Amino acid sequence: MQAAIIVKNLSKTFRLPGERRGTLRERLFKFHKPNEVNSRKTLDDISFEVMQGEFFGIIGRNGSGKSTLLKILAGIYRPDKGSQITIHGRIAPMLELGVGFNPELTGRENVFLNATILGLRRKEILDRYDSIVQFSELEQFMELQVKHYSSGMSVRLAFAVAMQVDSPILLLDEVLAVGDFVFAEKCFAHFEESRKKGRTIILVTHNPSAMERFADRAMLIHKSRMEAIGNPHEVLEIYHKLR
Amino acid sequence: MNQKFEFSYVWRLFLTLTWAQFKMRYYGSILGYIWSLLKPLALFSVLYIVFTLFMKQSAPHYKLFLLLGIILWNFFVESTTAGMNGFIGNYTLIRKVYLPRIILVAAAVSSAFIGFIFNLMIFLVFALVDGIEWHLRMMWFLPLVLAVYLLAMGIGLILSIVVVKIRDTINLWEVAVQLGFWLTPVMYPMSSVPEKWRFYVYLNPMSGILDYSRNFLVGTGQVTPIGYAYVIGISFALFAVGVCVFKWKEAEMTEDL
Repeated sequence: MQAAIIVKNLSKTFRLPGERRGTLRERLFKFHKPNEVNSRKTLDDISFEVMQGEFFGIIGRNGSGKSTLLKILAGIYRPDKGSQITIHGRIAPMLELGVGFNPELTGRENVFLNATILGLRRKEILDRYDSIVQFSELEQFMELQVKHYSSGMSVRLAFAVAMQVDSPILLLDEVLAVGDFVFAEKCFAHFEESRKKGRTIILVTHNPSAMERFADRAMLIHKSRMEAIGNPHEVLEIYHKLR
Repeated sequence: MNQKFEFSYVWRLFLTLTWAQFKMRYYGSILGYIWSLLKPLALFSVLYIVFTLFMKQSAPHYKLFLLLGIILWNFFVESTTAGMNGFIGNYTLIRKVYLPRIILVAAAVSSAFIGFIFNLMIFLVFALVDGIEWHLRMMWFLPLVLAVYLLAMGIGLILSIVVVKIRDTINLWEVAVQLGFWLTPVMYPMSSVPEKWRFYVYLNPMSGILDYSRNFLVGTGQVTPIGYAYVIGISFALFAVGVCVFKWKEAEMTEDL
């Protein structure tokens, strides 16, 4: 099997927001002092590989750095010098559902906007529009502004659009946290299907049961470091012992 | 490691975002797009009344002179302000989606540009009513339209980056354009500026854009080839600087948002 993602010695250091000088006044009064270098290592020397067609789970407590890892894989953040990341295949650009949604626009307009951000052509969107609406179960609400949607409704629409992404690698950050169980089942069914088609999926989650059910392999990140990697069941056991 | 964006994707995204933002501007308001026409017209009416009735300004075609000035200046203010917010205003998007971030600023400026084109049509109606006749030299105005667009884009790109670090820029820029309205020949002709100051007024690229646009379309003032070249050149240069500054700092600013 071929690797889809190879990560070697990945580190990420952030400057802490507290010491920044946001306003002109602060800059003027403190210009003689050099900026204090107060940094925090969010990811520390992480190395792993994800195979093509694998469903790879990443689990960890809040603030462990797992979302940062995903953002670096997506290209949103730059890793520190010395980190090596090799990616074979195109990555879907989106980490969370419905981020491009504009509450002032209608459901229909948001489908077009969101799908364009995800890389679809206009003709492709037109062709798939009906199936997007059908999947989201929002037939009567497409001309309604999204600000009038319930949160469940907008997640459904967002997921229906996100499903249309064809890229071989998917990065998902806590996508299953919202939506009722019927809808969650639908999403899982979709994941199953994409996996059968050979797509690589990386899922970051807090939800151990989803992890256990779907992941081929899992990784545990704790306090910026990789704590465990391998069989999801064993990784989860270590996760539960963390205190 | 970062994946390159396909040009066709960048272009589609640009068009879609521009159109969405243009729609958003007046979305839900009763008058809708008409607002983009009403706003410069309202300012025009006030200034026109003040200058013709109270200050007895009686230059030929003063109406057109003033209207064109306001339309151009209004575009400059709206587009640079929108561009300035193109980065910080889209922070949820920027932090969750890997996309060509420069497009967000470009789309903000361009959505104001659509409004500007509509405004120019209003100007065309006024010009026809006022008896302006078609002339080939009016074509010289088109490069100026491109110049003001690129100028606004360049400044918008620079501001969008600076504002991440220094939030005061929002207020500073508001003051700057208010001052600029008086320091730029928007409602007075360049000829009323004392000779010794003209050079400094012309350093401001908007002065030349306003002055020359009026010369080509309304027939007031004078154009020198050097001045024309300067205005076009500085607009392209500021655009290039804007793109470079943005490319240089965008990744760092994404983490600072």
